[in-house]
Amino acid sequence: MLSLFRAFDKIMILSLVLVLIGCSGFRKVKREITTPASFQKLPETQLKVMRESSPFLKVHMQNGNIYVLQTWIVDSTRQHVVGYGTLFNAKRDTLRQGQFQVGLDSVAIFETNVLKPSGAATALTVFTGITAAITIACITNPKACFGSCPTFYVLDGDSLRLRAEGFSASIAPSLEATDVDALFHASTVGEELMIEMRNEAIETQVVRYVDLLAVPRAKKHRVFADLDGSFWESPALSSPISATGPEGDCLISLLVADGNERYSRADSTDLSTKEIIELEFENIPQQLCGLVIGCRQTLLPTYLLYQTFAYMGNNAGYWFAQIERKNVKQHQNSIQKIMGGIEILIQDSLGDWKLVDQVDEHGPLATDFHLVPMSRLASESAKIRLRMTKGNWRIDYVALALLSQPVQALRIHPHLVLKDGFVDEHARAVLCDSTKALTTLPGDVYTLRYQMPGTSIDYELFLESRGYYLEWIRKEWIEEENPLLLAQMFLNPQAALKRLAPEFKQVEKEMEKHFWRSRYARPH
Amino acid sequence: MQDRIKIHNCVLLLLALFFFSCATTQAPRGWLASSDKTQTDVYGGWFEIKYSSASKVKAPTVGELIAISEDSIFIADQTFHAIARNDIKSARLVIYKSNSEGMGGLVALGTVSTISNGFFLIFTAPMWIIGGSIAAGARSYEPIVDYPKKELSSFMPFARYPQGLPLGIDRSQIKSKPRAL
Repeated sequence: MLSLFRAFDKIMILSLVLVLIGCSGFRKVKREITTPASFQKLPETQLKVMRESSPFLKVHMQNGNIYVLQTWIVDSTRQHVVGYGTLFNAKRDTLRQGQFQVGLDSVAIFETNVLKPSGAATALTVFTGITAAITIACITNPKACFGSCPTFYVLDGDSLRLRAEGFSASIAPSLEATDVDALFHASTVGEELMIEMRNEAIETQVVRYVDLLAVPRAKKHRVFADLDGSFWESPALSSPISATGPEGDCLISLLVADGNERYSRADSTDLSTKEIIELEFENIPQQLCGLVIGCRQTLLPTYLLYQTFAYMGNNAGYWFAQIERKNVKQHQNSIQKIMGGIEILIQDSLGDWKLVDQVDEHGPLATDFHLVPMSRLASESAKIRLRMTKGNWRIDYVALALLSQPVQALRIHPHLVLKDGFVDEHARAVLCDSTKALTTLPGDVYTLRYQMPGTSIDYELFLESRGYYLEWIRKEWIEEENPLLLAQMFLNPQAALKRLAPEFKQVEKEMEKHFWRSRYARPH
Repeated sequence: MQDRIKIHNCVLLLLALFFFSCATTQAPRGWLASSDKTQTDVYGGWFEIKYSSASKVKAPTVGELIAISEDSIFIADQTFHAIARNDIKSARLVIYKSNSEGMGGLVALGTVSTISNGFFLIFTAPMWIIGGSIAAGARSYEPIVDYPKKELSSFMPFARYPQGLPLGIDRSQIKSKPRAL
């Protein structure tokens, strides 16, 4: 009872802090300057976004005067800005208030100012949030607290969408890795591609580079990366005519990469239980082809990872040092190996199922697209099985791709890097030198801009990133320190997966909601 | 009682960290606009220049940033100054008022909120002190841009004339923004 009362006291004080932060004007300014020529070319959708995010438009005139317009539009001729506001002279005396029509040919520059929450205020809010979360959300579900590697957002229409996550399995310096993610939905507008790299978790992220790989492709062709990192051009894709899982027909979820995913719940008695989805294809051309899968992990692997950290407790530092010294060997039957990837099996002429390969891309945040070459198929129809751990994978898309030829990618470094709206030449130089690394902390957001090699050529785009990250051990995890159960995770993982099954089932349904809610992010 | 002594010492430590970590500026009281007011402010930011040893001018120059050209920076206090970029050793631009002292108060309050954490105080309180002080210190820097850390050209959007000094303008008439009363 007393502890409940104290928890209530804490919530009240923390609530007061949050209200004060909200009221106290802790906001920062992102200023943008636009030339009249660029302003004239902005589509109406972008002008609307500008009006909504920056209510005042400052129009700097060539003679030094300035209009500050609080409501404005660009007229249909695109030669004038019409609005209501105040006109100042070069000495900044007020000349007039009212309605104005300003010819673009007299304008020197347009200025907008977007107010954003201060990074420091956001940090304070997050510290408050972390402390409050102890009392509310994470204490009931500590394994659902958001964690990730760097997340990459790409412009899709007029909004940024999460399209890739880098090196998800690289949780220690010795596990540093290179990751190639397909930007399946991306297309360049004009000569430049903009990507936002965010640190949205309670982590330190160490990024060596983030390069764009642009693969030229013929019109209406696609390009896919196989499991060895080679690129293949595909002139045609065929959808399966049927897809059947344990739940029955699941074809509708796999036909289009639209975020409508096929997934299952974990087994309630053994988290390593497998399941099979059987696909059927017809009218297959007799030439080289490959299976394309768009997929991501569920939060089950994240849960198991965080549970392992929790069992480490205060000794997490010791165990990570052991990993660095390579004293913790990858066991033949480790949890990771048992949980495994998505195995691709094809039925041969005798009716036997042969393993072709396995897709095992880590990360629960962004769907990635993989190609599994299958050589020449014996007949015009084929049955293919996807075998995977139940509840471990979300599949958004499958197709059979006709493969014409391997192709080479053009590597493009970022030509401009901004942090919080300011050019960060140091960050750009670091990201272009793979012997150095950029360290990011929770809440950091970098805008990376890439110059496309030519506007007349169509490209399939991929993002290659390299690095690792370090989870900040949550206070709630320390409470679960248990060397015996930690030993079981390493030495008898099969038993651990059976023991943890009922525990995981209790949180599985709500985990997704908790996970995304606990993301460390500055509002955009 | 032990917990209360710990908290008392933590708050003293917090205040010390805060005062040492905050950025300083010579902008007169009432000169800088708040971040919200920058949306309608028609003046440049506050600019402070220190000269290189080779320069003939020794005392720092401070005032409103008027414009930046390829080879010069223009500042105004009661008079208009044109300064060669080559003469500048370091410079600080302050775009708006940071309100960091208010944030320091919030950090103190956040630390107080951990009183009831009992045993876990030793984890949570330091997080508030260290993280919170960094947050307050970081806030005081947010409206600040320093040269040579950033290129001088990145200061241009925050000048009174971001497009550059208008042709034919009477420089003798340009004076710094008046202080708000």
